[in-house]
Amino acid sequence: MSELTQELKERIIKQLNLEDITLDDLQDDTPLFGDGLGLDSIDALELIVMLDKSYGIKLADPKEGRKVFETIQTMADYIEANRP
Amino acid sequence: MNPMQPVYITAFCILRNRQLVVDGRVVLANHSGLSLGDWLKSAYQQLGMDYPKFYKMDALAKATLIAVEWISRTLPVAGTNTPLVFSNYSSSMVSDDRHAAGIYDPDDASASPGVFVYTLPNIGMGEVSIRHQLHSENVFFIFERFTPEFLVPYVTGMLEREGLQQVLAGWVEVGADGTCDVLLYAVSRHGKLPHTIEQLNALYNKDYE
Amino acid sequence: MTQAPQAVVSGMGVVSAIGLTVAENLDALRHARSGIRPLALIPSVHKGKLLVGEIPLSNVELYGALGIPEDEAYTRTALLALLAMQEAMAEVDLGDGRRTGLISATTVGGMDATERYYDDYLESPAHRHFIPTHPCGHFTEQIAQRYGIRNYVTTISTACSSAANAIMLGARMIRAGLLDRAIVGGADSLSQFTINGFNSLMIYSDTYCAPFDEHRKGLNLGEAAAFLVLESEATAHELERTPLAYVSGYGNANDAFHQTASSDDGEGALLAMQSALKVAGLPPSAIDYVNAHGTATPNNDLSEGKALVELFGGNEAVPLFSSTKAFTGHTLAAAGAIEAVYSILALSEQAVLPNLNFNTPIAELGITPQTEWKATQVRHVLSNSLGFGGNCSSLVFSKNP
Repeated sequence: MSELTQELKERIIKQLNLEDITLDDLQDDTPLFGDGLGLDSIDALELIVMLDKSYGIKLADPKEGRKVFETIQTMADYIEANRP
Repeated sequence: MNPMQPVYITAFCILRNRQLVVDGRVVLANHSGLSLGDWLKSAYQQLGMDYPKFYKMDALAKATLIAVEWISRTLPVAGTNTPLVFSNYSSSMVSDDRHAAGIYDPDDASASPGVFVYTLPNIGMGEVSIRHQLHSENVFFIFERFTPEFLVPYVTGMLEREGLQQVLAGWVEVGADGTCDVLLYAVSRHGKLPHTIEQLNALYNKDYE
Repeated sequence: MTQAPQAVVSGMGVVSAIGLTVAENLDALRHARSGIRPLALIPSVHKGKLLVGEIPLSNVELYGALGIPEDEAYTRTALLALLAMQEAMAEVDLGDGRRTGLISATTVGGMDATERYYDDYLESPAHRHFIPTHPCGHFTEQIAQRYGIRNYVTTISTACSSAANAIMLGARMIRAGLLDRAIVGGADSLSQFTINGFNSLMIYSDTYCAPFDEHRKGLNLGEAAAFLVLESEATAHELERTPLAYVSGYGNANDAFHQTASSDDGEGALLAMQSALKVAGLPPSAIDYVNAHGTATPNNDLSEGKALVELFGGNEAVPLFSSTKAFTGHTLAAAGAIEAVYSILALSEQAVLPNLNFNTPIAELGITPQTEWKATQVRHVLSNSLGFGGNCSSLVFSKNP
């Protein structure tokens, strides 16, 4: 599991251009949206694309994304549960 | 009709050839070895802005933001009624190219929403508006080259007719090939440098070593 | 009472998914005949599936309609623009010595040709003459050259508010006494570039777009071109041209919220509408019809709706309004121009245009668009075009000044 969270952290930092964030800044339970990392709606869409391209999971409803993308951990859990 | 009152260039910022010039002074020396992205990052860090949204922007929006940031260090910008009158030749080519590379890839076609967002030339202006909370008028023109012949009467007329205090205008040409040719300036009712075609051409063409 | 010359509309031309002329567009609007259909002409994975407001003419047919030799490089955007120009300029004699400007608008520019021919450019010279057509300013120059307009020629590119800004600038130039005539408008053709892009933002509906409906799922893209001939009142009078309408107000403001999403309360839209009314010297209550931006995205319609409620002072006070995007799709840079034509038709026909595909009002707003063509007194129309980058524009068209 920690391999997946590590991988997710690296992917997210790269995909979302989080150039001023280090891997240490990103805890498994850091809130990605709102007060934590402060990601926005476009970032959420990028995460949806990443879920599809890198893990083969299609999220059709952006609103569902908010729950899935709450933290690195919730993302990892979702991927583990839904990857084909 | 009243004759046009003279108006003045009260600040200007140039980003070109990996050199950043503010009001005639070179503030970031030529780093010709750096990629555009890395150079813009160094310009951002120099400003000490603490604005993480910067990293999501494309090169056009970054360069635009940096230039206006410098101007805002000497003149009131935030929360003012300062219209933006920007222009370029290649529109949003720097992001168009990236978006195109994604969607036309024969083996792995995909679109990145974060890239697509920047495939319009006025998004950089929008980023400036967000950063400085400007709800003012904003327009973006497409010209073959920096065209003070158009911008000068347009901006002067704006100040004259609309009773405004200040306008930000200029040229933001950033190429997909890493070229950067940006001149943004503030025009106000009081100042020293006359807002004329000759003066703008002089600022634009000068060698600032 | 202003002494500045009024800007009147003395000619117009439009080409969209619902018609190749003003008359054809009007007929479709009157008879609730939408032009949105599955994509047919562009090579795309979405062909036959994605719903678009496509103009049912191939580029070859457009060349033919314009009498342009096929070996000359005109992008689809340029061809659509020229077709609309042809209609708009039918009664204009540019040899009449009046100071005439051309202010055009686009976001796609020559992208439609570039994506078609780019791979080819390296392989063979067959399409290389299209290379210069890529930049946004190019087709404006082509139009200017074809018509011999030299005075004042420029291209505006501010996303979905582009053409509205062109109209605003033209009206301003006339009011400032700097031009006697301004030909203003815009064009955007469909392209894989924009289709794929909007899809990635997950705001593209998989069904017919339903503006201002509680269950709306997003927009359908469209392509179109439209141009208005604006003249000073004096010029129109001297040339014995009957004004179709007056451009009595215009305003532009930035939402300063997000690159693509509108603020929750639609502040930018509200400011733009307020500016436009101020220029027109009208209170909100003078507006008989609002042609809304109404793209049918969850975000826009809620945001714009809130701005309307705020502007008019309560949901009960919002005048008759509709979005015509369920007819044509969202035509991006051309939207402000085709919707200006439709706003002017509302004035000439004394009718409010229908908002198709509507069933349920947005719960949070409590406002209901006009769903059927309605004959009624229309003196002043407010037309909104809200673009990405927070660029919000609003125009007021009036039957009389």
